[in-house]
Formats: sequence, structure tokens, C-alpha cells
Amino acid sequence: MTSTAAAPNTSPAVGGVQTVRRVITYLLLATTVIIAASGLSGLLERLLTVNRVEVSFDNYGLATSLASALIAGPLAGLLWWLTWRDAAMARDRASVIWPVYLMLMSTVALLVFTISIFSWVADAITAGWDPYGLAVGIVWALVWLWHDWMWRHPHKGPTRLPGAAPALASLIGLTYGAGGLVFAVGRLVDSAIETVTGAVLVSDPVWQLVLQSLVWAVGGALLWWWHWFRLGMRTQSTGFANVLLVFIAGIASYAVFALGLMLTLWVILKLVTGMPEPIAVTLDPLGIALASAAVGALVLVYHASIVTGRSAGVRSANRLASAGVSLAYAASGVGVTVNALLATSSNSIIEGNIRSLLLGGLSALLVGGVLWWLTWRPLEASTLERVATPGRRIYLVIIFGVSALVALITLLVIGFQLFSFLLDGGSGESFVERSRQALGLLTATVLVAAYHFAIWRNDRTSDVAEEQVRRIDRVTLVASGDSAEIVDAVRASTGARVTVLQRADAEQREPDVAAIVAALDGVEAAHVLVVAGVKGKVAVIPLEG
Amino acid sequence: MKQEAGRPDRTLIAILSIIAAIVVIALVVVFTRGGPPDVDPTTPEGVVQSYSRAMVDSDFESARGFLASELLGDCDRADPNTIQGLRMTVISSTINDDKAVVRLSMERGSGEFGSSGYTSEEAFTMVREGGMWKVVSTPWELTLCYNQGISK
Repeated sequence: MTSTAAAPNTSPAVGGVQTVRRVITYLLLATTVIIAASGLSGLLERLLTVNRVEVSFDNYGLATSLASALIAGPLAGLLWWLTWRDAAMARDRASVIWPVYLMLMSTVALLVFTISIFSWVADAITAGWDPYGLAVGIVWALVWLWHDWMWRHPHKGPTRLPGAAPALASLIGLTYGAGGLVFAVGRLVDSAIETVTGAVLVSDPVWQLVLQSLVWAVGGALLWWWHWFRLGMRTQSTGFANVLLVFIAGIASYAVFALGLMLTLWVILKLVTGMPEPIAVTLDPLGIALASAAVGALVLVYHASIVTGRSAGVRSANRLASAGVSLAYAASGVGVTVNALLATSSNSIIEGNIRSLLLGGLSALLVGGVLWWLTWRPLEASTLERVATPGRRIYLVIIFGVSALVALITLLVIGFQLFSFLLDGGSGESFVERSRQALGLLTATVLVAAYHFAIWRNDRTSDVAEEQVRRIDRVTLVASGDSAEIVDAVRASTGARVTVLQRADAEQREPDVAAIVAALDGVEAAHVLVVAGVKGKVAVIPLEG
Repeated sequence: MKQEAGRPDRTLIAILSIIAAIVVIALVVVFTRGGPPDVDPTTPEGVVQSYSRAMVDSDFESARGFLASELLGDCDRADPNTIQGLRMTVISSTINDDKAVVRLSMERGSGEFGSSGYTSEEAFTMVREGGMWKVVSTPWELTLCYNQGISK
């Protein structure tokens, strides 16, 4: 959290045997907490159904719950007391294992508690109110609240990985919210289509299915809103928050949006070309397709507006991630098109639906291709400005890596089919028939790799210097007053992690931002102490380690 | 810089042309060809084709006509399958006197996005009865009688 980020003790914790002790302690703590929670929820389940069960011989179940609660519970309490003591926490607070434990446990607890509560509410709509199913949700909600309280504790909360657990929680909320909304809207569209085609014979009432999806949508939205706005995840710019933002805006929502567009286009193409299949089958994916496109666009547009307010690195990473996702769609479209083309070459005795396969490939190629053209802008791909984009080389290396992996797998498949064809003496057609998927993907991969290799070679001959190398890992800045501007500038120019030590005496004439950045220019050290000193002077002291 | 920018542009044009060519050829080939050709019905492959077509079209009476008499004697009717997007390609056909085995690659659910269909290798066994090839065993999707599919 923001309050703990500015905590005074940010130096790393003592390692060695202490690290081993911490790993073992937190592993034991996590195990005992999970066992105790499952025992408690089992007992609570029995408590909630105490006057309803007519016949029960489940002594083993009760014994398990009692053992879990009464043995693991006190042990968890003891372990927690040992780790939570002032003396222990003073040692462990700065260790990275403490936030990792909290993050894992609170994420697990949040998942168990929300899934259990939301499905309980969704079931209550159809099956009626039954307190029995609430037990797991209640116990794990308490576990989550407990870990959330520890995470936010002003004196004992972790000093490393600021904002990681709430950021993950906001992602979980967003996933539930968007997923629930997609299913609700998709169900509505589907039922509208079904009234036209009249093909459905038996179905639950539509309002019921929509309402059940909306439970997840509303629950997820609440969870997201709490973490995103109330806990301020929206304005966080830690490394973790930035990665998460790029994942949401550049990859996840973008992929959902593109998938929706692609499925919609596929249905339209099938309608236009007049498939020899029932109209209800053709229109079947339309509900989810339209809903994915709409909700994906909603999430995308909202997060894209946040990305525009972030640093150049985040903006560029986001753009490159979107280009990569579009490229993946376009490439698989090429692969499927080649696959469909090869399917016509073998004389099948029963042919299947090659047209539908081809139209699927074409829609992926069209949607992916257009989105790639818009995000990558290939006509100006080699201008100096673009070559100097931060992260471009990383992007190219990732493309080469993925291409190599796909090529390896498809070549193995093709080789296997070739040898089995040679060894068992099947017909020549059967080789193409059995390896056409792999051949399609290999073609697409070769095209992708060829284009990016040309880009790579061109980049190397251009005048742009290598990407900025991080010469400084950490900067400790001694300053007075509000130093946010200086921190941002130092971070932007060096890429280093910046820690601020506040001066007790107020310094009236601090050096300006440009002077501090200029003083760091050319310095190369793992850790640098910067003292924004008296009368506008800057002292830069490289430190060991 | 102009000359340097030339190389990726040329590569891009080349790649776009390749993709366009693939798309155009695929569209023309896929949309101009008719269904699969009829295989000579006196061969084992031809019988497999006729039998499978009848099963896919749920024309069980015609399909019965292709079964060997030993099966028809005590046919315990299987639940009919709905078969969609089935694709069958002959791998090999072996004739051994009055018995034959036709090996096929069968792909189910093609027509989604290429990867969702799953392909496996299956076999039909046939027997010659009165100068015609008759089906003895089939892949499970295409069974008409429960007792068929157990090759003797």
C-alpha cells in the first residue's frame, strides 16, 4: 500500500539461515491456516444444518473437521503469534517472503470465498435460500479479511512488493465482472436469436440464466471497485501495477475484444456464403461473440485511457503487447487458411466442412491483420522514432522465441507423420492429411519470423543506439520536502529503483531536478546515494552492493 | 534512412503478397469444387464411403444394406449418433482374399478453428459376400448394431 511504501525500514532483511527459517515458517503457517479453515467451514456447515439433517452417520467427516479445526487451528494461532510478535516482525518485515506469503494466502482466500459466495447466491436464485452452502464462504472471507488487515497494518505490513495483493484482487474482480457481463449479454442476445429461429425446445427461463451471470458481474464489479478506486490501485505506478495494467489493457481485454470480432465476422461470412447447415447452428456463437466484443471494448477503452497517463515505457509496452496479440490472431488465421487449402488436396471419402474452416481462418486473418496494422503501423515501422521505442528489441526477441518454439513443435509433428507414413506405407495423401494443421502453422510462423527478421536487421543498421542500459540499480535519495518530481525524473532517466530518505531539517534551496539528473549521468554502480544538499549542491556517492 | 526503410517494406510487400495468394487460391479452390468424388462401389473404400454417407445422413435403412449378413442376423440396434463435421480420408486399403481392412484418418468437429477438431486413425473391416464387400466392423461413431465393431 502507499502508506507502507514510505515506511522507514526499506533495507533488505537478513538472509542466510533466516531465509530458510522464514520459508519453513510461512509454509507451515499457510498449511495450518488452510487445514484449520477447511475444518472450521466443515463444522460451520454442520452447525447451519443442525436442525435439518434427519439421518447422518457421517462420523468420519465430523472427525476430520474436528481434527482439522482443533489441531491445526491452535497450531496456526501459535505460529501466527510467533511470526507476528514485534521482535519477529522487526526482522521479517523487509523480507520478500512475508509479502509473498500474504499475497498467495489472501489471493487463495479471496478466490475460495468469492467463488463460494457468488455460486451460492446464483444457486439461491433457482434453488432457494439455503444457509448450508454459506459456511465455506464465511470462513474464507474471514481468512481473507485477516490477511488483508495484516497486509495493510501500518507497522507490520510488508515493505516489499507494494500493492501486489490488492492489485491481484482488483484483477480477480475485473475478471469476474467482465466474465459475468459477457455471459449475461451473450445469453440475452442468444435468447433474442432463439425467438427468431425458434429452434430451442427445452431451456431454463432466460431471466434466471441472465440473473445468475449478473450475480458474478455485480460481485466482481464491487470487488474491483473497492480495490481499484477505494484502495487506489488506479493511481499506483509500481512495477507490479504497471505489469498488471499492460496485461489488462494490452493483452487480456484486447484478446477478448479481438475474439469477439473474429467470431462475429465468422458468423457473418458463413451467413453470406450460405452454409449447408441449419441457421441455428450458424448463429450459435453469435451471442458470446457480440458480448465479448462489446465487453472487451469497454474494458479496453477504459484501461487504455489510464495507460495514456502513464510513463513512456508503459505506453510503449502496451502498444507492443497489443501488436503481439493481433499478430498471433493474424498468424493463426494464415495457418488455418493454409490448413483448409491443404484439406482440398487430399481425396477424402467424407469431406467434412472445409468452407467453415476456411471462413474461420479468414476471419481470424482479417481481424488480426487489421488490428495489427493499426497497432504496429508497418509503413512507419522503421522510422528512427519507432526504432528507438523502449522495449522494441525485447518484443522482437519474444517474437523470435515464440516462432522458434512453434516451428520446433510443428516440425516434430510433421517429422513424426512423415516417418509413420514412410514406415506404414499409407497413401501419399494421408501424409498431407495428417500434418496439414502443422504445415499451416509452420507457414504462418515462417512468414512472421521472416518479417520480424527484416525489421531486426534494419534496426541494427540504423543510427539509433542500443536501448538504454540500466547502469544504476538503486538510488537512495536524501531530500527534504516534496520530492515526488525528483523521484520520477531519476527513475525515468536511470531506470533505477528510488528510495527517499527525508531530511529532518528543512532545506530551503534544494537543487533542481535537471541538476540531479545531470549529476547521475554516466554514473555506474549497483547502489548510489544522492544527497540533494545545501545551497543547490548535489552529492553523488556510489556505494558497494 | 529512405534506403534503409526499403528492406522491411519489400519484405512486408512480399509477405502480404504470399498471404493474399494463399487466401485467393484457398477461396477459389474451396468454393469451386463440389463434394468428394464417388469412389467405385465395388471396392472396399467405395462401400465404406456409401455406408458412412448413409450413417451421416441418418439413413439407417440404406446403411443396413451394407452390413454383413452375420451382423444383421442378431442386430442389437445402437443409439444413433449425431455426426457433424466428420471428415474421413483413406490411409490404406488391404485386401486379403475375401477379407479387407480399410484404414482411415477420421477428423471430428472440423469447421471450428482448425485446432478444435480431433483426428484419429480408425479402421473398417470388410468381408466379401456374393461378390460385394460388406461391413463387419466400424469405428464406434458409425456403428449401427452394438455387436458390430468387435472384429473377429
